Amino acid sequence: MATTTTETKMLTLCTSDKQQFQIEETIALQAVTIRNMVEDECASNVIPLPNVNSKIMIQIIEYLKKHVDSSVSKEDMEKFDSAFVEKKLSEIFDIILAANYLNIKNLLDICCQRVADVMKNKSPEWVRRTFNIVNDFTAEEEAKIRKEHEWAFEGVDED
Amino acid sequence: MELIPGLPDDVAFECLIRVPFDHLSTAASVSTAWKVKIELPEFRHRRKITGLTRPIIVMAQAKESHAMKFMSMPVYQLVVYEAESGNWYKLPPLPRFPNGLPMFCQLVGVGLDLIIMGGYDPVTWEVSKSVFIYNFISAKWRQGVDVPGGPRSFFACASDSDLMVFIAGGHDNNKNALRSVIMYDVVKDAWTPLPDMSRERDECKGVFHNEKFHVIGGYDTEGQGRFERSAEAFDIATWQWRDVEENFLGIATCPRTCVDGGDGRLYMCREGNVVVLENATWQVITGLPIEVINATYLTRWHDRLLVIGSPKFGEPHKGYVMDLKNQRWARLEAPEEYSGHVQSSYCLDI
Repeated sequence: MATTTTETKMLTLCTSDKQQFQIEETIALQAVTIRNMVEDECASNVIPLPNVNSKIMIQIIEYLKKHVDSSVSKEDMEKFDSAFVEKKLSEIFDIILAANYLNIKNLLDICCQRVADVMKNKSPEWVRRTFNIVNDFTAEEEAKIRKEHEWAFEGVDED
Repeated sequence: MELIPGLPDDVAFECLIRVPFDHLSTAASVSTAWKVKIELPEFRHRRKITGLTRPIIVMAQAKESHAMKFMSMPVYQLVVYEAESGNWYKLPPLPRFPNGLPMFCQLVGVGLDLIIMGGYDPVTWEVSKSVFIYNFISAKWRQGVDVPGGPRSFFACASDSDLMVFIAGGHDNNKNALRSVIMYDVVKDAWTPLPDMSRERDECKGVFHNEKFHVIGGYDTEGQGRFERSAEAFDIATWQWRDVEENFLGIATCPRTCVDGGDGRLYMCREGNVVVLENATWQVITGLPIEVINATYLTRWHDRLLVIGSPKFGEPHKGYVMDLKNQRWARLEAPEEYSGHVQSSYCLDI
């Protein structure tokens, strides 16, 4: 057991729903936005994060805690990441928005990859429905694309 | 309209560039906004920078390797080798050449397009002036504007990988070597003449290297097959030919295997070795494996060199891949049907 009295420096993050999270500074500083706030000294003891709610913050802290741990092997980290993004798409979107705001590049990357992977073996119709995208091709264009991209419509999963 | 409702467009773009290559076609069919983004050169650049592109090696390959032995005219087809997955497959035949590629046609990549030009009609033996463009997203062929000027064969051909294809030299129907040079803009589907080269160059090699179009070696009309050593480079920025480098190759040799190494250096195969151009001299890196000692084609992707060759003329062709970092060779495992002679090859990063 460590007997030193060196205090671990803590930061308090305050989410949009006014929840406070006390976390070690080294963990929090992985978020570039937080690091900039601390470095610019524009943050007092409590760092307000008005764009992140507590539900998402809990998950982001879980991610940051794992990634600050240098004893985790590359393989285990990849396993953790792929398990971490096994979430509903709406939740992934919320994490993306938070990771974008907090500027946590790795987290943003794995979540964007997750969104891209959702489209694997799916039809364009399925993608539109899932992402709530309006089909703005005219009937004529649509027919042309279908013809040009015939192969893309083969072997897709059942909707 | 937002690319993906609920996400800022720059983040949605980051999601789109991560769509696996073989699903991009579907993504391009989702909405006009997606289609426009996916077709932007910036889209491919972002994929490349982020390390998401994959090398796609396309070869003009003879259909049956053993047919060579019986001296019958081999039939060439376009074959794709995906280096990372190890997959091999054929591309659909050219619209006007259902029974085989034009003999000795050139192939280069520009963006998501593969461009085929030149060569001889395998039936009539006439020079083909057609330009065929295969798009890897739509998986379809289209035809471009014909190569302008008279019939031209055995010309140098290279692309800047992003937009332009350059062709130079070669010979006309009377076997007169040519000095003229033309440039093809794939997006505009338009040809532009460039200033002539300093001399005639038949069977010269085109390499796009250090932002310049290099035309290497070849021979003039009088020379007929006696390869010379010089090379010259066209600087796009200044729109001028640089001074001729008279002893560029060091020895009089066929320049066909010359390639850009992607590391600012040129590589080629000669006299049983892989050589690299350093400080204006060609230095031996390593010997070629005996099975490809008679190297016919060299293709580079990332830090790999693919050598296609045979132990002796007329024997079956094999492929070997060298890692440029440690000069180690690995045999390219190809199914029997993809072991034919390779006339030309190009690697696209898609």
